[in-house]
Amino acid sequence: MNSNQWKKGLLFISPLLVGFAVFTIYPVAASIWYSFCDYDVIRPTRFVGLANFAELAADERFIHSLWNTLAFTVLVVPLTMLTALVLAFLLNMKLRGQALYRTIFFLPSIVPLVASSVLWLWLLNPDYGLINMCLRPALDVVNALTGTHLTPPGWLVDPAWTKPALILMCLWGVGGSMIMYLAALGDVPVALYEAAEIDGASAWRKTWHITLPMISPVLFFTLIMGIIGAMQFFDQAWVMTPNGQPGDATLFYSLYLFANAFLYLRMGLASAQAWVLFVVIVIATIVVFRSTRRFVYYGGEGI
Amino acid sequence: MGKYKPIVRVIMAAAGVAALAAFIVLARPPDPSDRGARTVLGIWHPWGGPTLECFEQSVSAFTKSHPAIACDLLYVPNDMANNQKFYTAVIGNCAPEVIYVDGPQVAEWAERGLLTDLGPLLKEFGRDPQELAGEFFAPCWRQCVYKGKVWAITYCADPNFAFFWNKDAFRKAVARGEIASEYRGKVDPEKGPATIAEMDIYNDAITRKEGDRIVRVGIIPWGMYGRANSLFTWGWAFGGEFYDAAHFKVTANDPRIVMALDWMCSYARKYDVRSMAALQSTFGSNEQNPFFIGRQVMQLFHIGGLDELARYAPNLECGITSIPQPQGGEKDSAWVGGWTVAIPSTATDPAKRRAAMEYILWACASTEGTRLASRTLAAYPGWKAAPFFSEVAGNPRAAAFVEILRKAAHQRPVMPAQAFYMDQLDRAVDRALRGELTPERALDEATRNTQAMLDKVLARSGGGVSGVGVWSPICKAPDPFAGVPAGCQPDAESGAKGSGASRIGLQTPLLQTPLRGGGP
Amino acid sequence: MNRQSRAKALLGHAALVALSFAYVLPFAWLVTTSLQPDQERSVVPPAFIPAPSAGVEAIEKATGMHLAYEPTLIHYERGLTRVPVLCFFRNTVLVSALTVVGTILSSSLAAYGFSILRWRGRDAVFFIMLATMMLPRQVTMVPVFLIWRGLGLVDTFAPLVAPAFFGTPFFIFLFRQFFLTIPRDLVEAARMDGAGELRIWARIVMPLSTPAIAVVGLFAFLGAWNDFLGPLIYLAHQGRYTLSLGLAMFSTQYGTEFGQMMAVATLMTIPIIILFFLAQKTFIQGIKTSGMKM
Repeated sequence: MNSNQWKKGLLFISPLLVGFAVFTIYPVAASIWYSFCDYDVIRPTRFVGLANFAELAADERFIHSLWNTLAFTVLVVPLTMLTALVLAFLLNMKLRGQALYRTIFFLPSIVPLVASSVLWLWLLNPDYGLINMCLRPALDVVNALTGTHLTPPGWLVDPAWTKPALILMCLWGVGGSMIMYLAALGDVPVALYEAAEIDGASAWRKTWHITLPMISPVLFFTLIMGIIGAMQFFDQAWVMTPNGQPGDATLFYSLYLFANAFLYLRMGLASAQAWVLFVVIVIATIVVFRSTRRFVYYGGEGI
Repeated sequence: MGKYKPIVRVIMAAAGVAALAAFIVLARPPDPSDRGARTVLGIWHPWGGPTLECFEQSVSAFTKSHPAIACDLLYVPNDMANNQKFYTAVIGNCAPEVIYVDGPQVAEWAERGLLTDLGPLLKEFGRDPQELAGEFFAPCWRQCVYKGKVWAITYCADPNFAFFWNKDAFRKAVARGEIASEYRGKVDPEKGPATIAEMDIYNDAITRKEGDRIVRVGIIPWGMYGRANSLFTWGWAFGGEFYDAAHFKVTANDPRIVMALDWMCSYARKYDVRSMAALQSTFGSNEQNPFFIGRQVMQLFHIGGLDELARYAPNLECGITSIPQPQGGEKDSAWVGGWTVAIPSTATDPAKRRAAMEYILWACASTEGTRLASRTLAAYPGWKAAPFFSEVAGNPRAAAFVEILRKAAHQRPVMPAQAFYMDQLDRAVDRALRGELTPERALDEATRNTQAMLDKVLARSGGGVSGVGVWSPICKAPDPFAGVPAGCQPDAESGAKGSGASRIGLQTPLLQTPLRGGGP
Repeated sequence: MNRQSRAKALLGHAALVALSFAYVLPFAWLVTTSLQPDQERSVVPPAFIPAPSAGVEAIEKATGMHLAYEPTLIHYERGLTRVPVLCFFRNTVLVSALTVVGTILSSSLAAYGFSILRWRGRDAVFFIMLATMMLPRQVTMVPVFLIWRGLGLVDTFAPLVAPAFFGTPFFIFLFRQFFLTIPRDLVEAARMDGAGELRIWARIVMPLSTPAIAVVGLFAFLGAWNDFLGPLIYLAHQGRYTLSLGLAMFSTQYGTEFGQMMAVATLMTIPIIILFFLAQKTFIQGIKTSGMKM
């Protein structure tokens, strides 16, 4: 009967539409305009056509930052999702002390970054940081056994290991996703599991055929948000490696954008950068939406 | 929600909305008219942490001695990476009357019309800028002058750097015979190295490795508060110049700077740069500086180092002197950094401007003001006649810094692409250290990029502040460069290029309100 | 419990304990630094046991490592008096609480429109809304500031709180995902009983989504609590500053009062931990297990 409830639909999203009209349209339009201008945040804009985009195309640091960000995204999103999922499963086992564990795993997400960055600089110190202090004896054993000459990585000092260092930092922050997965896991009807057990399903089959599909909406959410967040990754990189050092290894897209916008006062160029990123993210998101459509199960037949 | 009757729910909802509206409306700043007839100065400052209390005290001393003025202090993180608040405030015409400006940024902000030319104000107060210039240390004053006008007054001058060496460590090393035979006799723990060649020897003598890790190092040339600052230090020590102000030319590839960078890289070649960097990557905080824990025995410090030494390694006996002299380079080479105070261009009310100037002159160029200012950490006044200098004469360590300040001859380039320049230098040093580029090529590239950037910025000369969009109140700041030729370049052709370019540009009525005053 | 499940439980416990050590480290560090006297911090590696005792001293002598320190409350004392932390706390609570209320209301309503209701173009509009998240904040910051300036609401809490009442794409998306798992039959049945959409939202959809509400509330609170850039740009009086700005007040270019900063940061985490405890119960309920969702 009501298959096109557009009036009600618009009513429900009316606050969103008002906010969009007031707070989004003008800034978005302004930033499109900036991307075609020479604008240093202070002085009036000056139209320069496609000069900003041309400059970006020829800028090797720009290409490098795009590449850095894509590589980082491809690595960090699956890893964090997996970690959060594993933690959520562990916590869903209803073992004793759950409340305490849940809080502990969530704690790193609430420690202010300015405070935890000091900790991380120590943890990742190649010589006397905790991580390498633990790795060194392990690697010594491996070296003794296999005759190799492995040394603990240089982390923030070594261009090849700075991205893994930041990924490691991100793995600490999966508390948020873990909570969401927990909430979704709690939603799965117990009756389904009972029915499966009656049919003699193993734990693995139960997970694969019941749990994952039932929480797939939230998995999908964290996938999309993970991609958007990773492509705009800024905070930790800014605190730990402000200039993308060493050697531009951690020059992420947003770092370069921020530098252009507020350090070099080239907001026009930064806006052009922002729109290029926008296009990239939109394409990536559409691809993910389309390709995972058949994997996401909305139990209420909602779609 | 289902528990309550509909009418109750409606009332609750209405009450909630009313409370919300009331809150938003009431959460407005208190009407400053309760200050009576006093002129209210908004002062945005970056003095947090250990300096906050001292700064607040010094400002209350100001208000006590100037009863017609009231000061509203606001802490604003305000370094090269945190100025969004100031920029948005200026564009939105809600900026304060007094702003603290990081020394190297004065030119950048002046060029873009963020600051007020202080010349006319100074004259109102009966202070001739030329005379005032003589009252400050020369490089401090130079930082505040751009294109012939005074934009700020130096609040504090950071003499950079003093050379510290760890006497204890050297003594112990000599006593334990850890110094290799070829260096014995050349290393005197009581006397620091006077030349770079000597420092190299000291470094080679004291550096110790355990396997592939360096456990104690002499000095890490690129670890002086960032790679760019390190290059500035050694570049000037070797006798180079980074910027030709008269011709607006970037000269990072000055052969003597290339020599300095080459020397820095020699350390990277001799010792594994990764290992040194690992040693030097402290916990990001000053107390775990490798110098304080004995892993590095020679280091350059700015004045904060004295306080840190007292706090974190009070028993460390070290010597303090000026930077060793490279062969053919400068003796006692040093430069100044520091903070300045300025008046944003949006402060147009004459009474407030006068009050602001009053504050600035008090804080920067009066005995009482500088005495109080120097109580804050790392605040050696830039004003030569400050009582501070005679007060610390008895303290040998502070006196060493004062000597360095007096002899300092450099300040970072006063040009409007400063942040970009420093980033480029940082990159150049990084790439040269890792062997990606030769020092010469690295600096050539930095020069090229920065010059291109500088030319772009200067080509837009002509200030005024934009209010972007229909919503913004139009800020009628006068063009700070009225009467000054665009680009201020004595070179005829580039001058023409400058003024021509600034006239071109589409100006849409919707998104741009051009505010150029007279113009060239 | 049979042997298999006991073994599984043991394994689970072991994994949890091992991971907990890793995950508790940042917080443990935070608290430790806030309790350590300044001199301790220059020791590498840092000591982490807060109470020296005979047993610890014996271990120290044996291994040569510096493990224990004398805890002190001086950083808390100084930190709380140097900077008006209580005032900042009040401001931050206000802003965060209002943000949570606004977010839950507006985002769930919008999500309802994007999930339970069906209309042409719905998914396209949803994607456009999502797309607004894909533009970095740095480039829209200046125009948005000017909008608020034009409205005369700079230096109030309005720019920080009001946007929450207009829907946040992140939370709308989250709510939508939860709402889509609600069986249509329930909704259709209610409609046939003559219930209006708002009533369905209030009586059926929201009660069934308490985990989602708890998650959104927690994250919205956390976001507002730790927001730095927003308060930095919009607040012009120190009396209005929030805790995140207050934390920044402990550092300058010339040095940071780490002890005090960590003390205040520790205090900042306490309300969130409390909130988390309260919200936890709703995540794990599994209230829908009574067969309604089959």
